[in-house]
Amino acid sequence: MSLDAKALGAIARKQPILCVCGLVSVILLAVIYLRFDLSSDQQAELGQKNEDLKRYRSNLANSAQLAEQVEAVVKANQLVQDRAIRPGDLAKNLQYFYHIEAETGVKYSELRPGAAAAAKGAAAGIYVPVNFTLTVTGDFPKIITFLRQLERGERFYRLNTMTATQTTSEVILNLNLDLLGQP
Amino acid sequence: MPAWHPSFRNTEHLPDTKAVRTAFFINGVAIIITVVIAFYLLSSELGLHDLRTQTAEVQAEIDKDKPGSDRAVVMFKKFQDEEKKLNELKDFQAAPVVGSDLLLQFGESLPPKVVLSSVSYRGPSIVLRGSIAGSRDEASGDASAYVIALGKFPAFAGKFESIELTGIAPDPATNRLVVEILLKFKNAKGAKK
Repeated sequence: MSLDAKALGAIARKQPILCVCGLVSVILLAVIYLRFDLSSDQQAELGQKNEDLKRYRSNLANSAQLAEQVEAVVKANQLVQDRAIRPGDLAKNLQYFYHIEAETGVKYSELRPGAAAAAKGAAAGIYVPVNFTLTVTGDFPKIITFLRQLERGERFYRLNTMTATQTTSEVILNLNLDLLGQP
Repeated sequence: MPAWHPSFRNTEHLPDTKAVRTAFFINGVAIIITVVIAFYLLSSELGLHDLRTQTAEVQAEIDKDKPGSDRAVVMFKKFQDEEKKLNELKDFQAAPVVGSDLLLQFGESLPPKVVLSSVSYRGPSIVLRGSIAGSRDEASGDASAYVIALGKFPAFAGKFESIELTGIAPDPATNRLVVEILLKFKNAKGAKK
């Protein structure tokens, strides 16, 4: 061991520049080896941050008019909810039909709400269909006016079945329809 | 040619008499290698420093834009929830037919000899019942012509999968031919209006 140290000392004394360069090179290579992954890690981090920044900027650009759009949709939904009926409010719901009867001059021979089970079955969504069965009598123009009132009326309406039968002087209209309701 | 006498020179202790000493080349090569390695390390460190600077700049941009982006994401979620409600209304109103239009269109499509006694809409199909004046031979021809005319009527174009005469029978009481026509919508739920 002491011989090795002596030999190394002799080499160092004989080739001092070579030894210093060798020692420095080894240290530099060790530093390069230890810091080799840092660059690729930093590159990956920069790439990820650039992606994030791109996404955030895209979100900002796409949401330029989002606030106005949300406001408009919320208002629209509020209007829809105001026009939706409540299934349990039977008197008020029937009043809607009686009001149309009075306005159009047709006569109901039957007006009844549909089975409650049907409304319960469809209650999974935000709105529920509230079913009604009607039999209406009137001349053809009045029947058409009555249907138009339902179609363009205050309440949202969906026609399920319809039978129009012509008698000698009048038309008998059997309707099964849903009004939009909210539970 | 082999040496003609033994060589007693001790080369290790003899001075280097070359014009440029070997040690100069060895030291030069060693210095060059060390300098190259040092330059490589330096350039790596500079590159790393540059990457860190860029990352810090991007992070600063992210810190600036992220709160707005987060608010936009929350707002978009709200928009989607509200849109879902509107879509539910749209689905509710996607009725196959408009009742008043349907009755008026059948009225417009009627030939002079045909009288409709009932129009029945049942989701996937419509059944028309009516009667036709004239002799049986003539009336049955009118019935077939009416079925063809219904298929060509502009308001019904492309709406029905089939229009068929499903019943035809004379009515002795009125001396008219009673007909039944079945109109099937193109899909099971009915055609869109």
